[in-house]
Amino acid sequence: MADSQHITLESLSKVYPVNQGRDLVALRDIDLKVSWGEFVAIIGPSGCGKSTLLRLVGGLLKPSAGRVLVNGREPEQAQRGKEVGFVFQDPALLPWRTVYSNVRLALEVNRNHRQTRDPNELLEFVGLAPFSGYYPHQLSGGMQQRVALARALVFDPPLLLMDEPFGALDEITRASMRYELLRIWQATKKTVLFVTHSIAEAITLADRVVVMSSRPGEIRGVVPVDLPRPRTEAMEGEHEFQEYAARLREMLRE
Amino acid sequence: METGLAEPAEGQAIDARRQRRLARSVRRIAGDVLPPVIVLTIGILFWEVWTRWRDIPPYLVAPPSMVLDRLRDEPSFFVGEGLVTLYEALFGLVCGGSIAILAAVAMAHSRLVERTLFPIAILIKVTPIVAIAPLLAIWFGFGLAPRVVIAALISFFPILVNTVTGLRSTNPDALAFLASIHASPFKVFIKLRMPSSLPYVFAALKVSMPLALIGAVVAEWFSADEGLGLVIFASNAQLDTPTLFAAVTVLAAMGVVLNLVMSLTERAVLFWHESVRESR
Repeated sequence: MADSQHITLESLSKVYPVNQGRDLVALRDIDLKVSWGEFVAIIGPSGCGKSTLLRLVGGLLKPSAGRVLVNGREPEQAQRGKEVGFVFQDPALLPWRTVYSNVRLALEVNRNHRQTRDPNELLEFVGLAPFSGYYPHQLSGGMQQRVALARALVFDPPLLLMDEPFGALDEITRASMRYELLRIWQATKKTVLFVTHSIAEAITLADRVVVMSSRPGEIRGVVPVDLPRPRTEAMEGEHEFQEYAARLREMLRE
Repeated sequence: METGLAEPAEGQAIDARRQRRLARSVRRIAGDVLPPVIVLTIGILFWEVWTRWRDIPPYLVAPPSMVLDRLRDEPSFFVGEGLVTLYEALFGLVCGGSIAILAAVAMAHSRLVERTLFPIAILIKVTPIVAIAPLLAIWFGFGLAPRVVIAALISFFPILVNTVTGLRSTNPDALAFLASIHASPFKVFIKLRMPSSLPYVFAALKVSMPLALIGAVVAEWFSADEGLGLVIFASNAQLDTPTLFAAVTVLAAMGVVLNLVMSLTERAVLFWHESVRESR
């Protein structure tokens, strides 16, 4: 690998011009390093610039100051090399395409990429093989989100950026999706940057939790989660888990 | 794992589905088609009885039976003239629609183009087409051209506005996904923007189609030697009210058929869209 760190953020800031003079500072002086294969959750109140941070890493936005390096290079280059997979809160599947065809979409857009995965295999992988001929509106929200995940994996990117992917799901589906994602992460060993509102979700999933404050969006602290893996639902009742939750809640309240 | 959708036990499920679909179409005919047909029939009967009972002269209001007789006398005449008008309207709709869609694509891509073209489009919209019809007759003569041009002009604006809106109303996260895999603007257009705009385009076509028919008829008043518009114009001048009613009936029937064709096409193409799914 070219760089020892997968993602490097150096005094990264993003300012949106709102009116003359009154700019909105979405992110201020963000420093963060994420190593290869690490699962990092970003948690914070609404409007703290979490999504902006993700979009900067994915090369969808340009920083106002500071810099982003993905594998030691500009995010645009990573984007061009299809090294980033994006999953949003809205699965954003194309409703006129079947599940299979939605996963295939990326292949139709970039025909000559070398390293690709078979959509059927990916659907098998996320447990949706029997539904490949269905249309998105025939699926539940959780299933749609799994299709979106499969779609993001088509180019086998080493980095997954997930923007509150389970935010629109009901609590029961949401809980099962966490472990589904952990299974997939453990099988693929990808680096994951995962934005969430849920403290339990962050602790269950992540190696480290980045806590952010809002307006301007700054990093309030980084909490390493030393719970053993593979993590299970039973852990959520344990004392250690509760301690992490209390600590994160405290940090968010400040 | 979610429930909600289990794998169907193939044969049985398909049979059951077919039965349900049949029951549904029977119910639809009973519920949607029957009431308006009954009301329309009562209205026509009332009209017939009223004109005969009060001895209304046919040049004022022709009874339905007389209109029907007129249609039966010369079916080929009415069909022939109707086809002329239909041809003008559809040709105009296709021309106006194609130009509108091309303009919409340009406008959706560039604000400068939009700012340039939109005032011109508004100008076309607010100018009463009826007012420029005689002028077009002078320019294009008495052939097909002026009538097609008027049908095209009148159907242009709704398609333009709706297509621009449609091309812009794409899911922002779907756009972001395509950007994240570095899709070219052309691919984004083909794979996402164009299909997303289709519901809007169909809505516009449903508005523009009857407009095109109106345009063709009005154009025929000024500059035609054929078509239902001319039949209406001539029979009006001669107080031949049964013929006038017969021509109007044919026009209405054409409108209904066109609307039906459009709705069925829309259902087939937009099977995935909320508007179609909810009406099932």
